[in-house]
Amino acid sequence: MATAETKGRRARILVVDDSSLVRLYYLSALEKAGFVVEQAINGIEATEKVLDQDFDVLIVDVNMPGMDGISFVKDLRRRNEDVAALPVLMITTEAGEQDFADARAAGANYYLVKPVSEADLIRHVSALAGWAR
Amino acid sequence: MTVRQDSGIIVLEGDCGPDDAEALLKALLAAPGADIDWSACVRLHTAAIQLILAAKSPVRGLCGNVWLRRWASSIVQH
Amino acid sequence: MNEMQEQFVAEARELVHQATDDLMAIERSGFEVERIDRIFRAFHTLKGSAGVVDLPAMGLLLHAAEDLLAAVNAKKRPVTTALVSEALQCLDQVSSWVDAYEARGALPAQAGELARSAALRLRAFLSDTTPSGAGATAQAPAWVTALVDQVSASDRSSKVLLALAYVPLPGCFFNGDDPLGLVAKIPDLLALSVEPREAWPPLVDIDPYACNLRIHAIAAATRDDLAAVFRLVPDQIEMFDVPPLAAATAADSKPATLLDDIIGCQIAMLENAQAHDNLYGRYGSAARAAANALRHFARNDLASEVEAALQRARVQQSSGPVLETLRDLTTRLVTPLASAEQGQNGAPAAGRSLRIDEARIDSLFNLSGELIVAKNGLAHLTQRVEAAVGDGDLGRNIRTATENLDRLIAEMHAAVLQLRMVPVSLLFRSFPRVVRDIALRLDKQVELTVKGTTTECDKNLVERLFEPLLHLVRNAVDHGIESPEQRRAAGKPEQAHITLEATRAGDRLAIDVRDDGRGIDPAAIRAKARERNVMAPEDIDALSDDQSIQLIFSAGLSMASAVTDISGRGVGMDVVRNTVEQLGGRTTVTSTVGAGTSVRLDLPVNVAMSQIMVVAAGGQLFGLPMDVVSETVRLTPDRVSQIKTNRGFVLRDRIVPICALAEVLSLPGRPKDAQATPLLVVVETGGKIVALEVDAINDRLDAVLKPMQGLLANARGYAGTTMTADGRVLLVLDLKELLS
Repeated sequence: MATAETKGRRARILVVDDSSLVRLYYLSALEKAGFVVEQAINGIEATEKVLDQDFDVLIVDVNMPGMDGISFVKDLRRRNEDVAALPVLMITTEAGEQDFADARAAGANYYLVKPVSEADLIRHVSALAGWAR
Repeated sequence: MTVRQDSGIIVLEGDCGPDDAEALLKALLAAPGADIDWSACVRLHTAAIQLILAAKSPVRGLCGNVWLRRWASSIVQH
Repeated sequence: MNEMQEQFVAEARELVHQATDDLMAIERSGFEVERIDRIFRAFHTLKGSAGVVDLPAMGLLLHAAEDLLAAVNAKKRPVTTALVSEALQCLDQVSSWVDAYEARGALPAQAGELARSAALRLRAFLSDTTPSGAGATAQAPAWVTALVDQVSASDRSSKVLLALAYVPLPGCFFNGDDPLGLVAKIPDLLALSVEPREAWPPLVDIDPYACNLRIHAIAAATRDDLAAVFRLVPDQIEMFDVPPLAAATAADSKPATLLDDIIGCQIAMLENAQAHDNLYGRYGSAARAAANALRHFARNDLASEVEAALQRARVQQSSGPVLETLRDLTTRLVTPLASAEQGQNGAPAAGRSLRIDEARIDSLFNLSGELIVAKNGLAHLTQRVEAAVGDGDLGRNIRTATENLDRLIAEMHAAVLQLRMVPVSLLFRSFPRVVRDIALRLDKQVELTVKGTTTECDKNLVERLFEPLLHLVRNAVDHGIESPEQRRAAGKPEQAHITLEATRAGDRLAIDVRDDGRGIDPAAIRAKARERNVMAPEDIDALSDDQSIQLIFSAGLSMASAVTDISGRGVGMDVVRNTVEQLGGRTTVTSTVGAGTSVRLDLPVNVAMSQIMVVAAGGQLFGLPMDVVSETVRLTPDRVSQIKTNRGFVLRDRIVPICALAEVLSLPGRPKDAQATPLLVVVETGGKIVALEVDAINDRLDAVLKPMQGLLANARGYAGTTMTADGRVLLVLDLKELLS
């Protein structure tokens, strides 16, 4: 079975969601597919982690206490370092045009609506991470 | 005879021309809601098709006529 | 592009040209079995090729044209100007699609719709209903839209569809009609709906012998086909054109793949940014996401393009390059390139020609130019060595070796120049069509003759002369040639003639555009020149008739009072002259009122090499391009005239002003009285003639000019630089700029 390799190494994903259940779900699905996964419970923790480690794709939930997903991505995009250009997959709870517009305005590269199936998650993360098939 | 009844099913066989329309109508009136089996049908005149449409009869089997087989769903109700 | 694709492009172009020529020939001479057959086979082959490289839109259009030509072939349709125009327009479209395919490997996004509407027009032409006829423009009734939904998307986009409404008469069974039996005969039936015409009464009240149906159908058939099927009941049917997919629906439809979707998302995200929101984070992540997705879907080539765009974006600090590249990608993702795996076993092109990347020839050419400069440098060194070593064996051997080298390099350079030579016929190729179209539009009868097509010239010339030549030809048809009535009244044949001729004399190429039209009236030109203040009035009066008509090349002097659409497109006669002069050539015009006009473009065959005359002035050496130098003169004092503060002399019949080159260049010159016998270089440029006084005239060089760079890049008056024999940089002057 192919491993989740990007440029010859396994792709690294950061999952940002305040629900431990959701994080567990994403973690197991992504690790099964061969990704290396880290977690953060809100935007502040996520910011610390991206400045500290390398990632290929960030999965960011919109609704989080403290710094929510939209604010986190906006803040990230404003940075000068390379981390500012990290591909972001935003997870929204609603499928309304306004929610999509907000995600785009913040600078997310793609968005999926909860609940996300395992297959969809892997498909989209693989594409955004450039995992060679 | 191209229109016959067989245990509650109206069977159309061979070449059903315009003259058979009346017979078909009689059969439909006699057994309302009966299925129509057209699998042995080679040709079916518009008059007959029209009656099947009007009676909203369920048809069974693939129509023996190739063209009708393809377009049946656009014409009658299965 | 792979070999199969290149083959397709080359073959398609050839077929289009050949078919164009044949179409115009049959228009002139009427039905000719062999030509018609050739045209038909050209369209047929094109259609087949379009299928091989998977271009359904092109195939669709060609199919319609092929049907039209088949009708002509079978003598079902006469050869008319309208029909030929339709066929030519079809070829134009194919031509532009071939160009797009060569550039990007795919047709533009709207190709499908264009093909459909063009094919509709062609088919309408075929069935004798003009597109503006009632049948074709009748708004398709609402049921058509509903029924068309049942047609598969691929059929919808690749076929021309007709909608049919068939309402059989109630008593039709008694005529022996079997309506659905007829419907079964419709070719290419794609959707069907059968409903009662009036609501069904209770079964017991139904008349089994009365037809109560309304039938709607969508088919990829022609009107002729349908007319044939329903020929006995034409009053019971109605046909409607199915409009092609509107652009809006195409945009609303779901993206074909996740890849399209992801790229579309990046575009939306970038477009969503506030103005000036050129954050690296946004376009950087968009580029990364897009590139990653492309790599994931095995489009590494496109991923590299996105990454390159990101580099440019970082430099410009703007999302522009990334956004443009992504937008461009979406069109190319729609029609993918024919995969390389398909077209294997392409045997190398048989025949005597080899397809070479133009860039390779250009780089070989540049190298060759540099070799010449290096050779010139070596020559000087060897002279010094010879002088030092004396006349012995060593000196002689060195001389022989350098002479050998000189010769070989010259031969090689000539050979490389030859690579760039193309026949002039390439330049003239599209003109018969141009003349035909303009003449048609203006209701004039014009015949174009082309001569000297085997003459060769540098490919640069062909590229750069096309626009000026086009303007000259358009001008000739528009202004030069009279209407048939005017010609008749003047006792001339109604059919006018224009000749395009290319001749070569040594290293000069002459292209003539001659017409037998009304000619140019020198008096009218002078009047216009006065009116437009082109020159001082007394200068205008002093012009001879021949000189007057040269004024048509002046900026601000347009031939017609109203700028017509045809020739007034911003390419004026002055632009023609300037372009030709940039190429090192001259434009002249001769004309006889009432008889015609001839414009001559006189150009050096090889644009690349310049002959330079090295002169000394103000203590420095300069290069004068030989193509503006007429002659050199050493004057005796008695020939120098003083006219107020200016000096001049008489050269044959003209007074030529004398300028010290040092003065022109603002350099310290020798005191004037020391110049008892001035050394003059007579130059002609921009219609002016001037004698430049120089201190000395040195050798001549064949040089390849390098453009000015650095601080002097925008300085006026310099054509470029080259190296002298002893390795110094020689400034070559642009005399036209300098003396203006």
